Amino acid sequence: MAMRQFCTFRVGGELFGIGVERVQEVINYQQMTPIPFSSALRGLINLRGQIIVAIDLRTRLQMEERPADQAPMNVVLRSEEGAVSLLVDEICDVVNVTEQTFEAVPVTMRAAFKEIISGVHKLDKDLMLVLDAQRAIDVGVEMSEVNSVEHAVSHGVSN
Amino acid sequence: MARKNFDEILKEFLDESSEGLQQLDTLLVKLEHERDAARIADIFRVIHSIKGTSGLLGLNNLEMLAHAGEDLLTEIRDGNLSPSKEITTALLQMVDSIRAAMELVAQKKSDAGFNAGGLIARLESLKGGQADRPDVSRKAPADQAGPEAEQDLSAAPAPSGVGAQHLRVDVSLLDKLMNMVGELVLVRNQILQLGHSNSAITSSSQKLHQITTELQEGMMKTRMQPVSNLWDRVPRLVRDVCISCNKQVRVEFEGGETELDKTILESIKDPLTHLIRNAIDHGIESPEIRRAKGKPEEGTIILRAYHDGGQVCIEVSDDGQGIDAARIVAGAIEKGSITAERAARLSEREQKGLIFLPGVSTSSDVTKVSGRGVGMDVVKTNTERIGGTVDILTASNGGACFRMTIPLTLAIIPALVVVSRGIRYAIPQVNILELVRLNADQAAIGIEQARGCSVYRLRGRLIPILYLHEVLRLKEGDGRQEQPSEGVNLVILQAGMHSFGLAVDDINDTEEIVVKPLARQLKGLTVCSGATIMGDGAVAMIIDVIGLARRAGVEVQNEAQSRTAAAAEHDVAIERLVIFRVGKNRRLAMPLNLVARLEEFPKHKLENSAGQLVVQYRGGVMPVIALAGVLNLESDGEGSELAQVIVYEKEGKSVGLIVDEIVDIVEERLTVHEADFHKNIRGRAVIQGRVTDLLEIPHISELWTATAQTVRGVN
Repeated sequence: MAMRQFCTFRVGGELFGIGVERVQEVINYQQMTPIPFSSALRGLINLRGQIIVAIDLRTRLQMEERPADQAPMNVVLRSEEGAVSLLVDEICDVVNVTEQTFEAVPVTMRAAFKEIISGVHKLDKDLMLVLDAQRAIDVGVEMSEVNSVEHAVSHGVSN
Repeated sequence: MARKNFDEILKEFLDESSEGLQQLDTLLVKLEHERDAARIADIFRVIHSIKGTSGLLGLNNLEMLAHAGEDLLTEIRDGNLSPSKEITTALLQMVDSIRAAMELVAQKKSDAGFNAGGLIARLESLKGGQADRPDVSRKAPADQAGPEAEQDLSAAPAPSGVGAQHLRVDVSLLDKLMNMVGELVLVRNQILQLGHSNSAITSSSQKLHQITTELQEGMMKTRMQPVSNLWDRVPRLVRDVCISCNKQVRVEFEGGETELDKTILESIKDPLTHLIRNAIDHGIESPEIRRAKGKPEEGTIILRAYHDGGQVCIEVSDDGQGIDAARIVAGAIEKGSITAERAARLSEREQKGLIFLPGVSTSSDVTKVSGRGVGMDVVKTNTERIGGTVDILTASNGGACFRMTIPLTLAIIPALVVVSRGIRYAIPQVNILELVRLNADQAAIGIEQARGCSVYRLRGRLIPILYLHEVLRLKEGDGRQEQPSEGVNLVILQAGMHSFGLAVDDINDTEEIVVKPLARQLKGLTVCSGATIMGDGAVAMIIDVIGLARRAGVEVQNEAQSRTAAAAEHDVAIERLVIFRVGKNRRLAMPLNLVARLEEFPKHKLENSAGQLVVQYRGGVMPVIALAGVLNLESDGEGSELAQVIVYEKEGKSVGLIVDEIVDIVEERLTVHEADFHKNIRGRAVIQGRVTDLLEIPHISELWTATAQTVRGVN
């Protein structure tokens, strides 16, 4: 039976897993440079000279904001366009699972979850939501050119 | 494993073929003008290897097309057909079609769905009444090319750059190395800042500094490519445009070996295409008109590239009718981009510059090629985006000449670091006009509200003010909380034809920054062009000034609207002037549009040559004149180590005028009072509440040889 290894972490109380082969490293909270016009794109991090973007999974999953006194952890993923960091609440174990414990995404799951969750593994005491890494990092900035110009014309640029 | 091999072969095939196809465009166009066995052999080689490899990879549709093209070329080579316009067009279409097939193959790894049946039939019909000889194409290329061509093959190796002295290196590897060098530069900077007391460490860090600098320079060179890579596409472009607008044009190239950073080369592709199209469509007259004017029927476009003081100039000049400033002005007034009064006051050069305004075109009719008035502002915007400028010159033969001046590289640029709400941003130096600091009192008076917009009166001209934190919608607590200092810091920026002031909390130093591209997720962030790592390791975003202006709607405003109402109503003679001082309390002024540059030279750099004071300047020798001597004034700048020089340019020649101090640049409505006490003073006026003499520049410039003896004053 083929075993798969998942790196697991918690976000807003839920347990998530991502294939270990996608995870480059796990690092502590880093100072970030905020990115204008974005919510889930939390900031830019200097990872040993490489500038990588950090995506807050709480925002991505439309969960409530992390309390200000709680520093997130970075799960740095490999992707075709370079490394991307996911901001999570807490890092958990690496777990081994087989196909037997896998279930499809429950139909009742919230849309924001369904968008980036590819399935569920039933662990002994918990459920592990399997994150689709590629879809999780597929998020852009929120600026619309058209609105901005109208905005500037009707209200003046200082608004 | 086998699959991987196939993919590798396919990739190699696509790489090689795209190089080959690029040559084909040029070769086919040349062949149309002049039949040459070596050229035909080159064309054969490319088509044949595409045919052979595509057959090998099972790309049968592609193979059939290449086969048909090869058959037609055989007829040309054997002298049965001559490469007429029609045949060349068909062959060029074949090249395009093969290119399209290649893209398909790159995506799908197969050419299924690619159908060039019509084109194949056309190629075959052009072959004419020749007996069908399918076996011909099955022979090896050497057999086909014949002994004469074979000789040429050995004499001229395939110009694909693959030889013993060259390696094919993946661009992404170079980018990675470049990144690492950028890192090294940052670490080096940090180490140098530590300033250790241990002399061994100090000397080691000095060495590190030197090696890093050399490594950085070497790395930059690996990304350089000759401009000719871009120009290879031009003959084909010219041919296509000529056919669609019935002109006859020949292209000449100079300085194709001039090298530029790969990314810059990419970004000037579109501007260059626009300029060439415009030159053919608007510049070069139709053959009939040219004949009537006594010019050769065939027009000439010259592309020229050369280095100029750390930058590269690329010129597109034509021998056509030149640019009619009056027509551009009329077009700009009609579009409402400028008022007639203002246009009348512009110099001819400034008037021609209006061509870069969106919507302005010199052409009265819209052709397929151009005339919609969109091209030129794209040229300007794209060139400025990479930190370059575009100038319009008049060629000696009366035609137009457009000159793009662009930086050698984009990887490391000088930038100003500013702070807004505790977050640092880098602004490319090339966009910055000046910095204005207003203390709290000045800000309260100086920054006014007009229709809900903040504006600032900069020397009489109203410029819109943008608050960086508002445009970027920085939220409270985004950065380290920092109380903005008292007063306002304005960075006056140029975005295309518009200038605006960007209000920031603090202004730091100018630094050389290593530009890093933004992650894919941030591609839509048009207000930033990249990011960089600061000396302390923090990341700062680089402001895209044009994107920021567009975001805030600055470009929505017209030049005419941004002027004060008062100035628009009765500004009869607004002039932009440089105010300077010669001798004690003697204020003089000259029009800014006559000033090429303001410079400072160490006094010891001023040399004597044949009784004339000169200075080495921008690779040449520039005569300098001490104004104090000319005007019989007592200079008080003798104690200073530096000479303040106004560089005046006329007909391509520069003359430096030594003054004691540059006071200001102002924009004033002038009331000129007669003053005939000196022939080099055309009058006097009250500027900034003080009497100021207006220098008579034409006299001064003619004077410089004559005044050789009077310059002793500064030595």
